[in-house]
Amino acid sequence: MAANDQTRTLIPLGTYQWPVRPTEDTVRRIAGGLWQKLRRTKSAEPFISDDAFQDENRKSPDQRVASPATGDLLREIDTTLSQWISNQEPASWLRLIVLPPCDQNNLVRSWAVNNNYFIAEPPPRDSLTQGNSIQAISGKANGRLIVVPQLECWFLRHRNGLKQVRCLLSELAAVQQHCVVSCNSWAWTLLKKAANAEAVLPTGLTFESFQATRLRDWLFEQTLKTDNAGCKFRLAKSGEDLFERTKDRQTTHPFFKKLAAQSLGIPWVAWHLWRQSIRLESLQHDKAEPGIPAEKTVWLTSLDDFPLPTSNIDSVHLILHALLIHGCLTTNQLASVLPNDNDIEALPALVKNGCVIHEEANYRCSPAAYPTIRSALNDAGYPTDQL
Amino acid sequence: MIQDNETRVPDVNQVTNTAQELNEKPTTDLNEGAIKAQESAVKLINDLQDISFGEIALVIATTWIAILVVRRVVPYLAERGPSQIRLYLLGAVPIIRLLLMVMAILWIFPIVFNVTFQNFLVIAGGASVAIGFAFKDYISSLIAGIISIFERPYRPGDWVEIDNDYGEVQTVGLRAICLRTADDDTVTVPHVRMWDNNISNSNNGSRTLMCVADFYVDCDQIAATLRSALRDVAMTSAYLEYHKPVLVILSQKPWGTHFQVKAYPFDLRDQFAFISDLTIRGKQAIADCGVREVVATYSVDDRPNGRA
Repeated sequence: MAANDQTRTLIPLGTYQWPVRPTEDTVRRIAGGLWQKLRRTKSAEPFISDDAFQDENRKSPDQRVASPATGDLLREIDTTLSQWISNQEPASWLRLIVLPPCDQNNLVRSWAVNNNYFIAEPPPRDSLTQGNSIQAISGKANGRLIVVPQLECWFLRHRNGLKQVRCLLSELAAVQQHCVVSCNSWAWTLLKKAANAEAVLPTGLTFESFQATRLRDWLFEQTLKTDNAGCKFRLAKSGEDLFERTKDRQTTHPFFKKLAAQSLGIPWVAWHLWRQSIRLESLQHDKAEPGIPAEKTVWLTSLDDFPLPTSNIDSVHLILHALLIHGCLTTNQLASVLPNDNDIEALPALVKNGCVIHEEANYRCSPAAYPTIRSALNDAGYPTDQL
Repeated sequence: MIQDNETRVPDVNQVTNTAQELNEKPTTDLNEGAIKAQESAVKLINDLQDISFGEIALVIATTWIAILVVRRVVPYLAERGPSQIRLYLLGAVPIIRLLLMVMAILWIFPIVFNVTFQNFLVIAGGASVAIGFAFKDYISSLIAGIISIFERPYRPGDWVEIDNDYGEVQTVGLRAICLRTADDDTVTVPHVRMWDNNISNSNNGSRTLMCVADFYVDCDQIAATLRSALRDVAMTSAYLEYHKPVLVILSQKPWGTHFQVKAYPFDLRDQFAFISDLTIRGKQAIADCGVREVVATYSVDDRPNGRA
């Protein structure tokens, strides 16, 4: 795996391989809803019941599962761009990295900070509709590589909100030094249409999807970095050890195939889903369960779908689409990009059920809810992202 | 081998008897066949005791229930499933219904009628007279309905304009279609209109249609600026379909400049919300540009019924 990571590079946009959900799981999901309504008898009892997970002992799972390390992806960016950066007369001075949304770690900014590159900060969003043109960024870089970490922060989907991003693109078109632009995939879909960004920036790059085996290895590495050394991660339903491998070390537990499919191959989404499925046992259950040896155990429940609010669904879709395009927005900014004044009324329901995260003054889509949101918007006919 | 040879040896007496029967039977069989053919040609409908009314009732009831289920379940699934397959599902309803009815007719026909070529001619002749005198328009509508299933001038879910009625095709029946207009009126249009009327189909089976927002502005010097502003209005609409073009068309009128913003929503059901969004934000853009809209004292738009 380590050898693979060393040689792995970013891939061109359009070649992302979406992980496939196991057929059995797909059939089960379709039939599951119907069966839940029709069945009269209870299903088999889980290996450890939910009652065993006491709220008072359900301390923050962050202590068990660390914030996702993005070292692999930073290495991939380095590997991909190193040759281009060292070339003093490249064919193109620009590189575009398109990432899926909900990247709370701001991957490209971290990469720029680690390498001490010049970061072009976006203008304040509230000033985007004022129409004040930005100052030239290339003059500030002092010859360093310029990184525009979040292009989605440079515009507002408002009739006056595209001026800044157009100014930036026209400046980038004439730039004569290395410049890396990153953008989330939803914003990129819009900017291609509204700002003709595709004419200025080259074909985007993105990372390879995290399939089951890579995801398993990556999550295993994360668990080793916490105080979980020697701790077993078991499925609450069956008691199976998720990280246990067969002697040939080829077989990955089907849980990771489901996780990869559900997270769409996006590591930070997978991490939040993983984190959400973690349950800690109550103190009185610290003794060994029958059938497993005495050990520190972290239990994982099944990966359930994230429910969207059922009422006012049109406004819900409009809000979620706007948040995905912009990354995060304040209430006023969100209201300014929605078509109807009353659409904003659906926001509290989204925050309440966890689809939208409220941080300080900003609202953003929850990474754990992203697969459900994407599926719902796609089903409603919205233009979706392309990786 | 010996036994085989023995069995092949014909009995002399048996051969003689068979020859006699052959000489006598042809005449008898021909007579009987001719009589039977004559009887069956004359007999149009089977004897009542031969008709299984229970089977007919069962076929009709089953077909009726199947059609009812299809007409309820498929639109239900179409409205709740992914929008990408909505129009395909809705469009399948009349085809499935036609197939079910054809199957039922083919099943029942031989039970009731004595199917021969002569009888077919008799039935066709009789039916022609009846249709020609009594049910001309009705049958014409039925035939137009069948043709419409194959030619597809309209499908369930399409937005069409027939005789100044613009609305969504709710159902395609055997005789007529039902339109639901933007004002929530239900208009029933017989298929026979298809023969001599223009049918304007806005989406023709696709998920989107062109929407036009009109602005009448008194502007002299800043037409280009205003055109860019209105284009951005469409580009930043939450309802915009990205894979379709956005156009702003100008034409000079006696009262000022006519701006038409033409764009597509990602779902045709959003067409009126999309036009409203374009209109509201377009008016703000016009005001921000410092020009004023022309207010006519008479109607300048003769497009009927809120046509998009």
